[in-house]
Amino acid sequence: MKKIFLFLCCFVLSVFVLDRTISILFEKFIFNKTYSGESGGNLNCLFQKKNNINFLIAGSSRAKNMINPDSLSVLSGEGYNAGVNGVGGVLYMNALFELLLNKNIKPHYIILQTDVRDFSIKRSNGNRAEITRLYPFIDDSKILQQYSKQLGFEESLKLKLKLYRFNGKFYNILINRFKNNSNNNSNGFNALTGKMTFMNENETIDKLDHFDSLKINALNNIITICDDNKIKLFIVFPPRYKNVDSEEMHLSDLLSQLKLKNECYVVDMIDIKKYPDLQDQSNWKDEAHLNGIGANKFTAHLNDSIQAKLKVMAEFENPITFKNIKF
Amino acid sequence: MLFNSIAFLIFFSVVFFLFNFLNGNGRKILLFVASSVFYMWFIPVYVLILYLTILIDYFSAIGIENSTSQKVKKRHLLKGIINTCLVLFVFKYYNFFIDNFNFLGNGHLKHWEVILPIGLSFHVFQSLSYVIEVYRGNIKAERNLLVYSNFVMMFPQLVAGPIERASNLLPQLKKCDHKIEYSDFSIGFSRFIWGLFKKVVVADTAATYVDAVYNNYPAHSGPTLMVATVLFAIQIYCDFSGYSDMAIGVARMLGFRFKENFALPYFSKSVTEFWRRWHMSLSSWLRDYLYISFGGSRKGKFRTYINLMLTMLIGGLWHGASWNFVIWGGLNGLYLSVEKAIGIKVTNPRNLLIKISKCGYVFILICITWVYFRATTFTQANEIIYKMGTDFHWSHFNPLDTNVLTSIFIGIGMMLSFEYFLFRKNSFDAIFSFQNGHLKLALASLVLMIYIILFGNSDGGQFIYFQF
Repeated sequence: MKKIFLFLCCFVLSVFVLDRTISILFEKFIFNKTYSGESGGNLNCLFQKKNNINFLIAGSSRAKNMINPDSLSVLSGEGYNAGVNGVGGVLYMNALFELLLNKNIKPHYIILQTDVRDFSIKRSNGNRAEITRLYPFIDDSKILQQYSKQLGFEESLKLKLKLYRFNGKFYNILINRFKNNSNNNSNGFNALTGKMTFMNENETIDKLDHFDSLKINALNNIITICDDNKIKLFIVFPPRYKNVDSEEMHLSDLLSQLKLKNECYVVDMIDIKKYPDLQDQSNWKDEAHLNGIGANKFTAHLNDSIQAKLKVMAEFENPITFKNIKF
Repeated sequence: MLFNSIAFLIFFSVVFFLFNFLNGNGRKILLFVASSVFYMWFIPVYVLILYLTILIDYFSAIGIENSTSQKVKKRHLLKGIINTCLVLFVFKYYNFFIDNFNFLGNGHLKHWEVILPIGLSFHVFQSLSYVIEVYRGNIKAERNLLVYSNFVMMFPQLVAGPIERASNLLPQLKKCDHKIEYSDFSIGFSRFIWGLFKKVVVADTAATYVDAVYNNYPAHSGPTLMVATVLFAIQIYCDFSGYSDMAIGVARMLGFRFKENFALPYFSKSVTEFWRRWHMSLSSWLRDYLYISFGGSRKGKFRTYINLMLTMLIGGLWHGASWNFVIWGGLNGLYLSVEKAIGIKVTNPRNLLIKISKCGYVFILICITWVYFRATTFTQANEIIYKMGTDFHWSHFNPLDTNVLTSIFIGIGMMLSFEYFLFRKNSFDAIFSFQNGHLKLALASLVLMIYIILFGNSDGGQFIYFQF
């Protein structure tokens, strides 16, 4: 038994030592020098290379693949698209915005893409992925630490291992580091190529019995953060290839639960019928994502919508001098 | 409780240290309590079903042994078999029966909304084998209910096997006063880590691709479905054999020895050999209690094929209450019958090229059966097979996420390398007996552990075979 006990102690100690050594070396020589990829590289690029941006685009793959910062002419200065595939919901964004402010990055405008369906309680099983995606930065975010605690005792215990924060990301980070595609000039936008070949026959939105309160709170927190820091926040709801009947109805339910502030504007673009040029199938990669051609058209529409909102905003803030402003 | 959870780590640490300090009856009570807690972790009240099957077969076996007349013995045997199977039918096959009854007779009988008790088929088969062995006179009935209960519900093998035979496990449980040796612990520990690696690094990461493709199969091309099917073949192997490795490892750490359940099945050169290497505890169960009972190969060629088909069809149905599993079993039965008919024997050719092509042929045949296993409906399986058989344009292949797919293949490559270069020739016991063998095992475990932390799917689901 003594030998077994000794073996276990040595094993645990070795795991601990290896964990600390590998994570320190990996973080210093690999991760911190990786500026591309969605396992933290794109955020390193944002935190280290893009700290003077004027506007930030955030959201899921529907932001990353559909909004080109270079085409948003209404917003002057440099923009960066920090949309992320697979996740990019409001939990992720809430923690990301905290990280941005902690690193003293304050864009003047944030365009936050989201979807009503993401707030359904039925989709809360995706919360974990949103939270874990930002684990490499967990030391710098109290919000993230709180979220990880909500994932349970087991998760907190795993996080005692420094390497665990790179779980599932290690290979991607290595590849991005050595692929030498750490392009500092990237604006983060990734245009999709190809056209839609397959469609679900009758897509229906899940019945939104309840909204996920964690997500509602996260979005309200984002709104508050932006308002406190005088950042103009545009919450954008983009369209899909086909309208889903109940989605618009649920939008008003969702908005009723938000504490919208002065600096926050909702850009409702859910109804595809309002954008005839986007209705053609050739603009779409799949039912949720526009391809590069469609993305440029969509960004132009978004540009117009933001311009209209800014106009209203200017009128509201300075009704007398508004007439002198040219957009 | 899942082996790949912190809860199990804490649970096992407590059980291990208590087990070490107790002896004889104390250990037996500890095992019983620990196994009950382990099972109750899922749905607590279901432990009563487990106790019921234990009682049925415990008394049936004693009834058989106490009887002098063959007729009475048979009555006790049937009582045991029917009652145990009834439990299985009620919880597992009732809704399947209702569906088919309604379909055939236009009836409107309602489903019974019940969650299948976890691992029911495993412990039912284990206790059935015990009663049959007592009836055949191969073993004596166990009079100590605590020992018999531990045989059926010993926690490492309770929910997904290996389906242990009474002749192997009962004597170990009866004694239960062995000293826990360092060698047992070291071998068991490494075996557990190896199983954990297979489960969380290979099976659970492969599952992300397989699920994404199979859950939206109409949107995917033939090559994508082919890759997903190959990955599923690897996923199910690593999931199930990983569980077996962990179960064998946990038992070994406590000083118990379970039978092997897998022997590198995808290196088989015929389907017949595959079934001697895949889920060995089930295939030997099916052979001993079904195939041989049907007459085996003693009643002529044609009857042999029928027996093989029947055995595999029942084996398929054992996996799940769905026609897809029956077809899966039927296809395997067909392969075995054809191989028997054309005289393919289990051989080991010397030529490497012949070896590889034979392994390839077996793998392709087995992959076809896995489509029926993985698909949720018969139509879905057929559509997938049709696409795989008609669309060979590799330009249509969709990797979904290249980096994820690459890391899946790296994990698979690592697993196959270990299996081919190390475990094909050496067991864990053999490695331990090498010079500094225990250090080699510890070092390998350490490397695997770091790999698990970095690459393991920490959000992986439970084991596939739990549902059976």
